[in-house]
Amino acid sequence: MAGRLKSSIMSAFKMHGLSLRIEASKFLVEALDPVNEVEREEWLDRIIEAVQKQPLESSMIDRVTLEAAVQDCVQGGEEDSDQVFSVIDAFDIPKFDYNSERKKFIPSTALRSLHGQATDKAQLFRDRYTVLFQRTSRHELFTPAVMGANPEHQTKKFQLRPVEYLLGSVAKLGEIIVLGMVTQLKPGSYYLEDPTGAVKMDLRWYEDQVFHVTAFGFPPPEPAKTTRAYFGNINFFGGPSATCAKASTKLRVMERENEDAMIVFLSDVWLDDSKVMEKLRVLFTGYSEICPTAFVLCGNFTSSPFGSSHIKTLKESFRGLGNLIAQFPSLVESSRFIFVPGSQDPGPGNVLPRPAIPDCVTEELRRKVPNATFTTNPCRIQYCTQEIVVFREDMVTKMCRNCVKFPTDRDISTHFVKTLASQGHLCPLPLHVEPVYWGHDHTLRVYPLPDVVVVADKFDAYSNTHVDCTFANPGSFACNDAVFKVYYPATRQMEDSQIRD
Amino acid sequence: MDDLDIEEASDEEVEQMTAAEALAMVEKAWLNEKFSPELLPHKQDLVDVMLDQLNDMEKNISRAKKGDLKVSIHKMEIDRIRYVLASFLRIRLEKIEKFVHHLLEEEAQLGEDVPSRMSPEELQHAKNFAANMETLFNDVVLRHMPRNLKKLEGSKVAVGPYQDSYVFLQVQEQVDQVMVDTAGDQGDEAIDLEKGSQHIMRYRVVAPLITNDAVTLI
Amino acid sequence: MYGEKAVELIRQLHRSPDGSLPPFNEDGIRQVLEEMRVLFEQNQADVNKTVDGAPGLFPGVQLRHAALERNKRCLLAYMCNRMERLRTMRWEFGSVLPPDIKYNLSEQEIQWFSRYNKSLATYMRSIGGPSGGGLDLTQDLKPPKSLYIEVRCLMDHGEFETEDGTILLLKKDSQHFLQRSQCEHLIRQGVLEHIL
Repeated sequence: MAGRLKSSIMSAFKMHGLSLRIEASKFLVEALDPVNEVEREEWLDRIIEAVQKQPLESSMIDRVTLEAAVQDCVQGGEEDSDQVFSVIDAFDIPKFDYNSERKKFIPSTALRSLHGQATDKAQLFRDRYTVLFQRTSRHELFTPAVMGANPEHQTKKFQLRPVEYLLGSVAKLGEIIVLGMVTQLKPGSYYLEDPTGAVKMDLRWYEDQVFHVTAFGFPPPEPAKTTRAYFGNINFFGGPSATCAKASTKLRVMERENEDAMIVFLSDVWLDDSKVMEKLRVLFTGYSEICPTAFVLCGNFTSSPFGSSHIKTLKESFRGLGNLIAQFPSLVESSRFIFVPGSQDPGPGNVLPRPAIPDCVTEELRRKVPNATFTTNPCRIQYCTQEIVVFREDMVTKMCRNCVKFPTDRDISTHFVKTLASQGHLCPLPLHVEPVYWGHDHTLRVYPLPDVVVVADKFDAYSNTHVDCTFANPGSFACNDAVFKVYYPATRQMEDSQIRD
Repeated sequence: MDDLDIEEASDEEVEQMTAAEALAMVEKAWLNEKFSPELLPHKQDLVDVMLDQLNDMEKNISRAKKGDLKVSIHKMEIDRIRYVLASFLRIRLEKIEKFVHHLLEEEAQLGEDVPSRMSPEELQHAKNFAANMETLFNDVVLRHMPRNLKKLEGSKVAVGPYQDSYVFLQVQEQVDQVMVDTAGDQGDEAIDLEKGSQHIMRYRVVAPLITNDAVTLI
Repeated sequence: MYGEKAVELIRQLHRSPDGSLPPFNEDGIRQVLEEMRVLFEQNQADVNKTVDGAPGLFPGVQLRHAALERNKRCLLAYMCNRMERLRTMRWEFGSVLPPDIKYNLSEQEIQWFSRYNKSLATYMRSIGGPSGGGLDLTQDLKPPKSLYIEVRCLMDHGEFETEDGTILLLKKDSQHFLQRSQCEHLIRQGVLEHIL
């Protein structure tokens, strides 16, 4: 009896071009024995389908793969429930390397250590350049003209040249465009550098051997839709799903139907300040009826982040917060609490990405509020099909201080937003201004552009949409009269809010 | 080889076919299919019978003593029969996949009682194959094309068998007055096919004679 | 000239040795589709002008339409040829493609492959009717010469169970005397080598 079952299983697998190892076939025989004959065929079909969905290296199926496949079958449609909301740690974000021959992003499997090798530092800049270069060369300005197009209707086309072209040519060149990184190799003079070389730039006019710049600007940003049209449904964002969340119709429907979903963003939540705690209480009272999907609280979490008693104060403040939240059982149950550390919160130095606040400090709060997640800075949140990046850093001031040309109009926030979108990076600053772990620069990449980028800053609150991406700063909750922002994913609106006295 | 009497489970007739007879018919069908440029009418019942017999043979062997010489010989025979069956069905499958649109169109135009060339399972596979091909083309290129070119027109894509290829044949039964149109201006010629003789001619001429077993291809 | 890029796609495929699949030239296809779009738009514009009474535009429209059809035909030929090569691979390699081949396929081709696999498996299982148990057509590709064959193991494959239950340990460079039908698929996969 078992022999016949075994041979029918083996032959079913054989028809699909697969063969089972001995332990695997034993396992399946045992599993299917209790099932009656009629259902057996169906189950066999489903198991085979599930096996084929697994990443297979050869047509020999071993027990592990088979067990995983059977698990999948048994669980059926439960897979999607976890993926509605997930918080992705910076260290879990997958790294993709651009392969210029195949013009595809290939996931990198190299093991990344926190402190990288010397080559990682150079690779960091090279990677930043490659991502921007491939994006720019796909832009209409630089793609070769299509045969037969009406010459009147075409925009003027340019050639995108590497720096070595400039260095190699002796004659005076006409109009060309070069993509490079602006550096100061020698104090006082700017150079334009790319993987092929560096050339001195002059932002005014005269002198030889110098690239006279008529105009310079950022590489044009690319909407996420275009990026995905080129690269398919790879999950650049990270998270449990193998394909991009945007591809899931189930999630899209869920997102549209869940109109009341909202995510509350606060920054500079000084938990040791009594006024802040009061305002938080008002906030939670207000929201306890309509529980938001999540509260994202960014650091810094103490007002005076120095001194020997810092950690103790922080621990007590978190305990206090835990008690406060516990007073609203509806929130404890239905809302998630996400804590993003600021630059003064405890952590190993001031390098990005910043790991989560240590467990020993947050123990009690996590006990009281099981839905609390302490995550890295920056971190990514995936809600249904939307991708949200949260970053706590006083970027605006740093950018202003380190810019090559300060914008003439006073609309800093728009310029800031445009810069981030064009650079595809949360922190396009030199390493001495904002240190980054060399092997983990990709965690700060915002390419393809997500739906929302929250750069929590002590600068004034703003919210701006550029190239289909909403950039926002909730503003300082502690310093700026309890301002914060609320995001409604169903309508993609970012609302300003404040707790008034 | 032992004669195993098998009753064919068909509604219309109860046929007593010995294994040897069945095998001979399968081999004939196999050769015809191999040398014919087009898909011949299916032999589903024959295949079913043969497979049944094969399974029975295997059961018999598993009951016999191990190490018996007869066992090895029977196993060889089983292997050989399996090869012929598999090759026969493989050739058919290849032709079906090659001429898929042509065959599906022919199928659509068949009348009520006219039997189809393909067995029901083959027909299903053909339909799947055509749909699969269309999905692939659609997803990659067709949906990006301008409005009036979006469809994959089966008639334009269909490849049909080359009816004028030359085949070798052996005459099983006397056939008189076969019309062979010769090239040039000699017009049509009528030939008598003697039993046992071998000829080479264009497939188109002998196609109907294959179906009624008057000739076999070699 | 119109249609050059499309022909280039086909030339590239033609140059590669038969049976192998070069990387899927997504860029090339995109360029041809772009050319088609531009041609179509120009045709639309000209047709509208003709309707309004402008003379002499018809030859241009015809030329562009011919170019459009040629581009479509080239693209479909490219896709179809790749598809046929992929089909051959199912019969050669089995249903799990080696990673270096998978690397060259587009996402849709991989999906096509798995659907073809499924349809083929369903057909093979249905051979012989509901009681027949099916027939694996990917086996027995050559006429059998002998019942047992001598094989050498090319890599460590672990344990292997034959039909009658005996378990063999397939270690690298070990030689075995097995029934041909049992180990045919292993020979095709490259695990065993037939010693003549």
